[in-house]
Amino acid sequence: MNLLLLANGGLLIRIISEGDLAQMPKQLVLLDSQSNAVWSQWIRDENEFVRENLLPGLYLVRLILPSGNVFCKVVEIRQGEPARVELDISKAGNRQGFEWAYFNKGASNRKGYQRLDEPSFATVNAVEYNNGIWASSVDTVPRYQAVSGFGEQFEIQSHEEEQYLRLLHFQTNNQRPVFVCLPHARHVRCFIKNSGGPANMVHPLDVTVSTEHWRAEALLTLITEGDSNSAQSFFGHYSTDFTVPQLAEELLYSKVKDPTSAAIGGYYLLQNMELERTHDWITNLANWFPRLPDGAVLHAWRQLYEERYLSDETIERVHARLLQAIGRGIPVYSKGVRLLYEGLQMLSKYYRHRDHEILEALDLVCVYMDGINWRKGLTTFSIDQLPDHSPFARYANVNIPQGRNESSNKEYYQDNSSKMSTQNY
Amino acid sequence: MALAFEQHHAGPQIHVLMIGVGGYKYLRGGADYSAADDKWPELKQLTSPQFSVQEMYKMFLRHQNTGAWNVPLGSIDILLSTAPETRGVLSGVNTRPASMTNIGQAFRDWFERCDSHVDNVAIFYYCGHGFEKGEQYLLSEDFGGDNFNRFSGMFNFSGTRRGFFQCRAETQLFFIDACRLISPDMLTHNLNGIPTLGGDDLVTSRRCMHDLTLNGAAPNEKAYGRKGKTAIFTQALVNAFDGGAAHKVRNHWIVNTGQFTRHIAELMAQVDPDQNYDQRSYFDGSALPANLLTLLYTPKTSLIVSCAPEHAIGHAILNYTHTEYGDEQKRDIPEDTDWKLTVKAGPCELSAFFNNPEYRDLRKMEWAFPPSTQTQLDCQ
Repeated sequence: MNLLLLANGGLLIRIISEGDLAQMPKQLVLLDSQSNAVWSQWIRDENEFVRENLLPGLYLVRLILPSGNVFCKVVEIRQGEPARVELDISKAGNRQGFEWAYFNKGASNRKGYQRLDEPSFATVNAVEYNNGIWASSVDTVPRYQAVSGFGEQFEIQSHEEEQYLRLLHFQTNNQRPVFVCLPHARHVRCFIKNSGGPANMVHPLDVTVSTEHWRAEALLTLITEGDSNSAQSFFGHYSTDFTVPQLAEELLYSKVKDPTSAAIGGYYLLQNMELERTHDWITNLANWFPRLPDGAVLHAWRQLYEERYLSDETIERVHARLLQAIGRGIPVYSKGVRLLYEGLQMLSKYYRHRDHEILEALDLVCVYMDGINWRKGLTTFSIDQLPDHSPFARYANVNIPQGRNESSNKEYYQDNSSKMSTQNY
Repeated sequence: MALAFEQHHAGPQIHVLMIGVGGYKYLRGGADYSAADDKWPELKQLTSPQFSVQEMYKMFLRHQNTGAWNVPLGSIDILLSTAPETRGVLSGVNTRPASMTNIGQAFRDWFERCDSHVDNVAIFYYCGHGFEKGEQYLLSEDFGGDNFNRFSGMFNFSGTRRGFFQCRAETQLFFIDACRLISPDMLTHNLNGIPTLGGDDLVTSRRCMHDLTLNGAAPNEKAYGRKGKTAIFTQALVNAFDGGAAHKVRNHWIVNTGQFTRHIAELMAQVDPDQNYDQRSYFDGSALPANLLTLLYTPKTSLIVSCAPEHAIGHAILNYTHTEYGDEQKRDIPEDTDWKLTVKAGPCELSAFFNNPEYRDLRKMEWAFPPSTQTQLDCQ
């Protein structure tokens, strides 16, 4: 863009970014001298933007990452002169290569804690859930991974058809192991660093895991961080006809391609009571993916939310779905663990604490919750030993009848519903 | 029964229930304490809850008096049990002791007030001792008084929160400033009989659209009070309401629920730097954001100025000027530490002057946003 082409009061904003940072969704905001946002847009691949007819004065250009990290630059617009501002985020400190963790997933970057228990190496293994039992995954080579304050990253490749529930298992000397649920994705990135925070409260290893589906990951970060303001505006300006609920709906729709991202969409829609947008897709997510506990949890809660007065049949279906989730392992996302626990607690009380299976399931979930890090979107916990789910394994594939308001599985793998966007991401 | 604040209007209102328990009758130091019957020697009287409730109360009234609440304040009900040495807090304000009976009744009354309009804002606040074993439990002043049931005198907050989702008020805020540790005894006891306030906790057809449930401690962690002062999390909350969680929308500084979760760790760190780690505070819920306050002033924020290279700060004479208001601050005598200022939010000019030719003098435009902004001056 030639500066001479800009009309009076024109501003050219240029973003210089490379690699992952260029791919990640970012919110670009222009503030006037009274700190009012005069323009805002979510961006990804684009790097040049023009704003025209701005009044003379000071402006602040802010580039905000989903994690809350912000890059800023001040620019002055003078009467009759075009202005230009460059935001170079390609060399953001010494975190090159880790931007996805720091800027998209909000990996902790706080300083001030000098810890004596900082590990320098960790062993990493994969653990697989099958028929109620967690066991080492045979096809993943164990590795020895360096750990530092700035962090180290590595990637895990998997076959798309391989859809077992898997955990990454990190072990350091004299510390409880850390486990992280892995999303179903061909490429998964892992970032491991020393934690900030007091030694008696925070585990010395901080592990962040992400797929390269940046839009789904950004949405997960926003709902995990509880920053619903940003979630609301997320992609609201990215495309005029593509809102957050629509993004979540599309993620849920695309469950065959990416079932774990579909669960992210499902959690967003349930949390915001956008039940109509879930169609029958949550039912299908629960039925079609027996190795994904999140589908069963989502379906249980959709039924709870759907009916003002719960019938015995609905309670039974919720009961079955929650036990099914436990039979399938532990939800991949921490939102799902919370919903699973809350649902079991409510049912336990409903059955006057006499339903022994519900009580056992609650005990099992509490084993995970005792060591869970709720700040992570993917279920991340530190416990001594993985528990045995085999008493519940028989529920994993059980056929659960349709709810009263649900039609049969009329969705097909190749749904060509006209209202869904076909945008690739 | 007189409330601490009551002002009925037609239309939606904010209804607040605050419970502060610093005085525990049957714990060490309490009025009915008996060393022979002491079942909880690790628990003691607290001095922070009464100051915390007082600070929250003042904050609610402060914004009511300036008309800043987007929905006007309708009622504040306060249940307060104070430790013997801090009597006199909130004198002249209607409060009742935070006994289990009073808490149960106050909760039911509050539920009804909140349930009267879908656009009501329900705010629940608790400060005192707490436990957690799967569910989170909060203690009344009666705790520890039953020789046959050592867990009587506490209520199940998690179940209480779940049940409240059925209230018609679409905006529901719960703030809990209490520890979330498990006691050794709890490992071997079944706590299913601990009551929830309001009874039924089975969520059906959730009505709450704007949910913020924020804890001062993550599960298995402690919350910290400050002897004779407002507790750390509560002070951070008050600061958030006062503008620490504000952002500007169309010429107005707005405080809304969505900003609390993002900024609370930073706000806690401002109160006590030892709280500066991500896992400190814990939230649940947080659906659509709701605007709570439209501030009638520009909020203050912390501005931290450093230099590059780092040691240049020890030679720098620093000036700050708010571009909009003209407020000025100076550091005429160089110091080896970063310059920490409290300033009004908005654009400002920073300048650095050096008597040492190794560094270059400079001016820089900057913007300070709540709750804090860090900036670096490139002096080489």
